[in-house]
Amino acid sequence: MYEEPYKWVEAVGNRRQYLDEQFKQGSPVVALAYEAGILLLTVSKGTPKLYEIYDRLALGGMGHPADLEKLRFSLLEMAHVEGFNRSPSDVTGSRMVKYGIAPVIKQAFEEVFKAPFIVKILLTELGAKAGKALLGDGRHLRELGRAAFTGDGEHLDAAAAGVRNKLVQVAEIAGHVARENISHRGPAALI
Amino acid sequence: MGMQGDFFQLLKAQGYHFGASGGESHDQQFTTATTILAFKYRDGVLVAGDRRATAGNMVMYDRTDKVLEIDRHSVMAIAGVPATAYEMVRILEHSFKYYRRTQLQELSFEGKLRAVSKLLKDNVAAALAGTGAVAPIFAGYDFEQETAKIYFYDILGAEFEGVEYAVSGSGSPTIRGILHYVNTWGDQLLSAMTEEQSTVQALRLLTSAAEFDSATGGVNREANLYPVIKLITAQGIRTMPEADLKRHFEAGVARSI
Repeated sequence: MYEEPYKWVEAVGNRRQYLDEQFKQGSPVVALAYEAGILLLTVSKGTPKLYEIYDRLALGGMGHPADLEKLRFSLLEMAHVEGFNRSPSDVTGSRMVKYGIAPVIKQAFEEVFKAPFIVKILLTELGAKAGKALLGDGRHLRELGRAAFTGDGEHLDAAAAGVRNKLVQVAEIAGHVARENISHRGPAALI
Repeated sequence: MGMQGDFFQLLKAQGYHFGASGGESHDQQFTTATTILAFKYRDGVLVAGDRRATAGNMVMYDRTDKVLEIDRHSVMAIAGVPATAYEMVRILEHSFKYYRRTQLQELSFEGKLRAVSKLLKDNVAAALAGTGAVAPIFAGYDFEQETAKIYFYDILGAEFEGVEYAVSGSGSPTIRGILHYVNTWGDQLLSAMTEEQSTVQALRLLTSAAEFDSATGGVNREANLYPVIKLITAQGIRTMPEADLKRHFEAGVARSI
């Protein structure tokens, strides 16, 4: 049945629909870039969703915890081996996503006889200079500037304009609070 | 291995080999020799090291940093072959970070001590051949016991706790006696000294070591060259700024020499 191209396309479409249904139940992860760094926010009922990956890289994720753990460990291994063999400066979000995670996720998605990764990830990277931050949504990394969202895409896009100001205020308050508590560690600690 | 948080095993699985081969040294002059020291003072632990690297009678470099931060609360002072020592520090730095990030908890102080010991044991062949011997001092803050601690190692990996102080390197015999004398019959115990008093003490010790050991670098005021001194407390690691070292040296050491 899956040897026919149309059937394969239909199978992929089914998988996409299945994943979208699964993600509707997840709580979103929000990343906000501001002048001193990046604020990652989420609501979690116990399972961690925000992780430190490398010196300037952090990960937020939603979906199946086991799949998130697999990707997290892949990123951690990749980042640390690369940072050791070359240097910490060579460990960048774009390299991790483009050459590490993206091929793995794509392959898992297209192999219709195997389970896909039920996970959406947000990879954040602190820029070298203040004010520059890169946010990625698991497919590619780009300078998104103020905010990036993962979760139920359509609903969040529609609500983004309305809550953006409020979230910026929250981030500013959180930034001030974080600076008070961890003033000795600098902006990188806010990830 | 990755799931257990063991970065060194992960490296080995990817074909990494630590340490030089155990080949003979053939009388080659390797960059070595130093004086490093650590002692407990009132607020934590002070770790200091001179700046000179020598190969035989030749001074290779006078700005070596021998007191290296491994993580926010651990420091390793290196004595021996710099190439091996720096590689050890790189492995340890990545190992501790990898463990914290994978396991979502800090590696225990005992775990850090074992990690240093394991690396030295892996380096035994090179150490015995004389091509890669390292005898470090490891100091850090133990949050479980809420105290700063000092450990020193021999080149084969045996670890010993320096209850009050520890020294290593070619200049260590000179200052080991001084430390014992000061701590036993001095005006106050080392562990009661303030930050300023302990900094002056460390500068005097390294200056004394430089006086009697040609492989230990002293202070060069014209070149603004001072030893590296780091202080470990519960709040973390602080490197003594050069301006403060200069001030302490002028006030507490220079007048006597």
